[in-house]
Amino acid sequence: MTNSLFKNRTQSHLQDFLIAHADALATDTLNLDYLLEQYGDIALSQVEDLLALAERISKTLLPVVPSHEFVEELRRQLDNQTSLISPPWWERIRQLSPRVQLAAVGIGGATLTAAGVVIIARRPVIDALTGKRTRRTSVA
Amino acid sequence: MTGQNIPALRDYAQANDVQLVNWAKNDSMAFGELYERYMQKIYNYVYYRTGNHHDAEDLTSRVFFRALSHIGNYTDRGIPFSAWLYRIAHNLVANWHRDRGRQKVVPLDEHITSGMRIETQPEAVTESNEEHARLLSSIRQLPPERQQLLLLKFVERMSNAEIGVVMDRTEGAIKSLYHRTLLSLRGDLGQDELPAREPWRRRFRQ
Repeated sequence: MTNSLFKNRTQSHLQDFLIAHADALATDTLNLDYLLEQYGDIALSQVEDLLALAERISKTLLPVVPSHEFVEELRRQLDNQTSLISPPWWERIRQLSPRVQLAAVGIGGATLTAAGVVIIARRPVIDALTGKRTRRTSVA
Repeated sequence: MTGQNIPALRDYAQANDVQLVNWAKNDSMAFGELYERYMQKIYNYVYYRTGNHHDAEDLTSRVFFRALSHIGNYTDRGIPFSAWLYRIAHNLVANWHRDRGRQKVVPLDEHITSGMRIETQPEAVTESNEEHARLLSSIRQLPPERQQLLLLKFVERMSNAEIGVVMDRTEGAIKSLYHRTLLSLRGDLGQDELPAREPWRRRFRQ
């Protein structure tokens, strides 16, 4: 168990070293002597070929630049697409200023209240009409 | 890209991604800024995963159209916008490979020649080009997540934490995966192809 724990710790230490080396390569800040000092118990001979491989990878995977025509054309197409997209109604309401939002709520509330009052006020008429219809049905 | 009914004083260049994404839900200028920030990165990622510019252009376009159509539903639940974009790209590339059922070999493009920092002797350049091509070919034979790790680390220059978010793994898992990837590549390339020991050591130990 102690052996396996030691092995895991060593493995993890080696992985830390290799990834630190990769980070340094990727950011052009590699100072191998300094790195080896930081990870004192790692011998260069132990990792030499892996470090050389990492260096080759970093020199091979170079950034590429897309063509200017492609960049411009895609920008234009996206622009056309975005102009067709209109935000949903709740987003449009959120864009309004607080005063306008408050006024809209006020108007909406007043409209609903007025509608309720009208319905209640017309209720006798509705009842009368419904009652007449019921009477007609019963007579028939 | 043009904005509609949008406050005129938004500083897109200075805004962070979170702000831009919120604005982009109804502001095309904000999406335009996100496009400027990530187009080239996504293009690079897709280029190395597909191996040619034509498919890289096609898939990059699809990534941004998909992002545009879904940005209204995007919420940052611990996944930054950049990671979200890479995940879209990763899924589209995976579909692309699945649809073709094959893996194309990366051509030896001009960028390899132009980007090399090596001796100017023509023989050396040719030899190095061949080495790069062989290495690229080996990288493209790796499982997708290992390719993804190498691209995010060496092309996109991401930190381990950032890579962890994109790949949905812990930093420890990323380190372990990187180690295994190197071992696998070393096995694939064979000792013959690795640089001679002494000259390489001298370069660093001088």
